[in-house]
Amino acid sequence: MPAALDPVIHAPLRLQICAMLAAAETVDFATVREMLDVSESVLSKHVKVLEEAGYVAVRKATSDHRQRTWLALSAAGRKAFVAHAAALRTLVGDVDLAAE
Amino acid sequence: MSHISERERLDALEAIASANRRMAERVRAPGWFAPTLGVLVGGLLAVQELPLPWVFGYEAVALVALSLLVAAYRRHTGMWVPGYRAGRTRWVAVGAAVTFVAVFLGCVWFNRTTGIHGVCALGGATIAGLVIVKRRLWEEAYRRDLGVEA
Repeated sequence: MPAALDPVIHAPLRLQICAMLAAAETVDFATVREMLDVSESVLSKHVKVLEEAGYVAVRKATSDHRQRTWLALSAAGRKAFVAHAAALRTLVGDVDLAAE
Repeated sequence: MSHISERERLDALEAIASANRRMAERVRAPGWFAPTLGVLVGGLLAVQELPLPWVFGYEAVALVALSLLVAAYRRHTGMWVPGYRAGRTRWVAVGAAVTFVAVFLGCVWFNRTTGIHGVCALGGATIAGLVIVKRRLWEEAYRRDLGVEA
């Protein structure tokens, strides 16, 4: 049986978003955008996919009269990312990506 | 079912490694963070030889200052990583907490039993220095947890 690769996470940008969020409790949307060097709309689109899958929690908070958006991996998202990364490390050769 | 090639798999692993490198770089606290944290935490011990109202007063101020410090760190780095996160970082954090409690109780006990003044101030200064060192060790442990060389 092939190791489970998660198609929601597998897209390169979403994979990097998940990796960043997995390394922290919360990361500011603007910080993720800056680190990935992508536009706000592109990042929003990918965050929305992750949010709809229940992998990412989005929280808006005002600090210093400025609204910031904080992103965090949910427990399900963390579990899915760990499993996905483990599968990537253990797979050898060409494999199939699990259907959504 | 779509297909993932060996090349794609390696690219995905490199994408994760790249994200980890950026996080490891980003987590670095600004230069003022560890000394400020050290002074605030060390101060908790240093004030123990002062009259009780001063101790309570300092604790209240330190609590507010610590929350402001955390907020400033989050603003600066754009992220928050809990000190006790799983991995090597947890050992550093637990080690720091144990050291702090041991120095704190040791100094207070020594001061109370011998009556020698200045022990808590000296202990506080020691803790301040240890906080700076431990913060550096924690960041190093974080980098290693993410598979990033220093």
